[in-house]
Amino acid sequence: MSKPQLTLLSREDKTFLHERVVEVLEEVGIAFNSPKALDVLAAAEVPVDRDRLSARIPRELVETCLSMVPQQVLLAGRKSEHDIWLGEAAMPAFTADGSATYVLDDASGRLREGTLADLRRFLRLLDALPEVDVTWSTVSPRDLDPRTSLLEIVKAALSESTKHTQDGVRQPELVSPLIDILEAVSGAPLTERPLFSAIDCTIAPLQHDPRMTDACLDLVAHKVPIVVMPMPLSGTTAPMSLSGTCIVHLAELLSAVVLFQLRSPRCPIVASTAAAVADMRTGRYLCAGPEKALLNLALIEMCKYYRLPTEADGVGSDAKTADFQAGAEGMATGLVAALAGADAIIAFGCLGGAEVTSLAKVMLDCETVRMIEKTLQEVTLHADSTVLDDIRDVGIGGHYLGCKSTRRLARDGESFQSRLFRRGSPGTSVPPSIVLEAAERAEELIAAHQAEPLDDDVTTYIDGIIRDFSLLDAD
Amino acid sequence: MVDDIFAKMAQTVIDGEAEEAAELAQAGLDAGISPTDILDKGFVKGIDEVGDLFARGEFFLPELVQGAEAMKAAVAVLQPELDKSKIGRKVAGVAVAGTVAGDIHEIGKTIVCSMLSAAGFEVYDAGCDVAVETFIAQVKERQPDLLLLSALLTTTMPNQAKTIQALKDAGLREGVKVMIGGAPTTRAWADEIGADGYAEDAIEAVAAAKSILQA
Repeated sequence: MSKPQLTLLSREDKTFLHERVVEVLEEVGIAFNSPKALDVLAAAEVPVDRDRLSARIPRELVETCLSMVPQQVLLAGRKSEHDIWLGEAAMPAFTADGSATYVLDDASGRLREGTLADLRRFLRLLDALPEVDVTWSTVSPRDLDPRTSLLEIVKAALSESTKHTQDGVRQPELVSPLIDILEAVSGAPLTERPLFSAIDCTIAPLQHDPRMTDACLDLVAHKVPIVVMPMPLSGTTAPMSLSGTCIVHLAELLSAVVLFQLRSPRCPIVASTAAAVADMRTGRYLCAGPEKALLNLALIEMCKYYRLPTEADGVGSDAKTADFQAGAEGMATGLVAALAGADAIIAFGCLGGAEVTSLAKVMLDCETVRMIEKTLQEVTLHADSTVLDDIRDVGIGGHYLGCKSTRRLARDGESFQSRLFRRGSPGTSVPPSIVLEAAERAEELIAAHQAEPLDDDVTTYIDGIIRDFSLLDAD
Repeated sequence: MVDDIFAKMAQTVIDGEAEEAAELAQAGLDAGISPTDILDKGFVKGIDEVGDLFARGEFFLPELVQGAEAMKAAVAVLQPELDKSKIGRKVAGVAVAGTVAGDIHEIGKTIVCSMLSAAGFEVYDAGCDVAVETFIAQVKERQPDLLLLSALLTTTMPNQAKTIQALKDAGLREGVKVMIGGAPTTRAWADEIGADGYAEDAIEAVAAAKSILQA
């Protein structure tokens, strides 16, 4: 069996990068910005600087902690049929993208700030689509109280979908109510059924967000999977070179691995590859482009070198709408990540450098994902698959439409069938926009689909947790 | 001869050579050239050229930031002499910028500061994780025309609103224009909290700053 794959780094390249990463960790250090994190490191005799809230991490500790990270990570769904095991599957899982500020109305072209109602609609769509394995808050609702918004978002994710969900936890005080909510829904400890994974965004260059770090230190005690997501930008918060950006990214990643493994040995970690490029005119984050594809490729290979399950930043676009640019960028970045062997790929809904999302983009991303999946399929080149008998029977000239093998293999998926992309004769006029058609299909799915609802008593319990926390926090 | 010196001063800014800029500024003072001439005929010409080259798409952020750093280095040498002569720099405005409390994201704010410097503003960068009280103290001390508040997290955006309220409580609101920015912020949010301006990126920030001050 043969499977397409893509590599960039030689063994010497990987060793070179690793040695530079270790040099940075040992000589430059990392600012954890959290006294609690420094306590964890100091207890392991890591040299810490309490004034700067930073530490220099010895290579031996990096290597020890890397050996402790589980190579397979369970991302559990509310229904076990949606469980994902990262690190052992033949095909990558595909996750939604997260936290856009704006929703784009595909028909009118208007942008507006997202609301909880928008988020629920997106979650319902993500639950309906078989291409989606993991949900995320595709849009960041602006009509929620920031103090409790994460709890409302997780409630929406769990009620509108039975799939695993991930999100960032920026407030340590939310960890306890969050755990209560998750265990109430799953009916089991999180260690057995982790319905949620937490995204930990480090801050380049070489820093951790203090409150996010503190929240993750509590979450790892419950073995909640942590998706470590450094986001250095070439040229601004990382060196302009591919290797320099990789080094900063990996130093932040490994510093998080060390911290979390010291706090909770063998806690599940997923390594995200969200390094990107800064626009050299504005400094803005660019989530797509050839440099992004190369960064993904190099970082996925390095994460495999470290034996870490990976979640690659994949099918997003800097385009303003779901247009040709969006398709080209998404495929260029996503396909490279898939061929590099990423265990999961962030895939659905990203426009405008992750600031915008739209229903049509989610639908069209499904087509990109399906093409990627088809490209990754293993190919068998033994005698049966070449159907030599048919070639002999059909002989010179003739056709294969009458062959049973054609009928069988076409049905078995040898022929890719798109649900939205247009094929066939050009016709006499330009057909309606594929974007509008995609948006209409999304609306149909949203109207028709409903995830198995949460039990009423669970919903009441969750509402009580959120209300009680809100009152407590107000005090 | 003097014109040659001024041309070299301008070139240090164009080349982004902060150390050389400081050395030439000192050399100019030592040669008896007035600090205002050194600034206006030397270094300001350089930063103006950097701005023009950026606007034409020939220079990019690294040149802009490094040019601003060189300018800053030269001004640091000249400032004591300018203070003695009681002649202020001609500036487009005075700005204080910072990332709000609880937020250590800095790069966007740093780029805006460099762009404003290149556009002729006198800029004081208050850093990141800046407490509301610190912003108020800075406004009292510097008496800026503009206060720029950056937030990169939805959880820290409320501190932009708190800072504006604190300005009102301190009786300082009328004396300063407030601009906000940062990836999760929007024009609607700026309007909601009573900011005077909003920018989506650093280029927009300079245009918005000039527009607000002219209004």
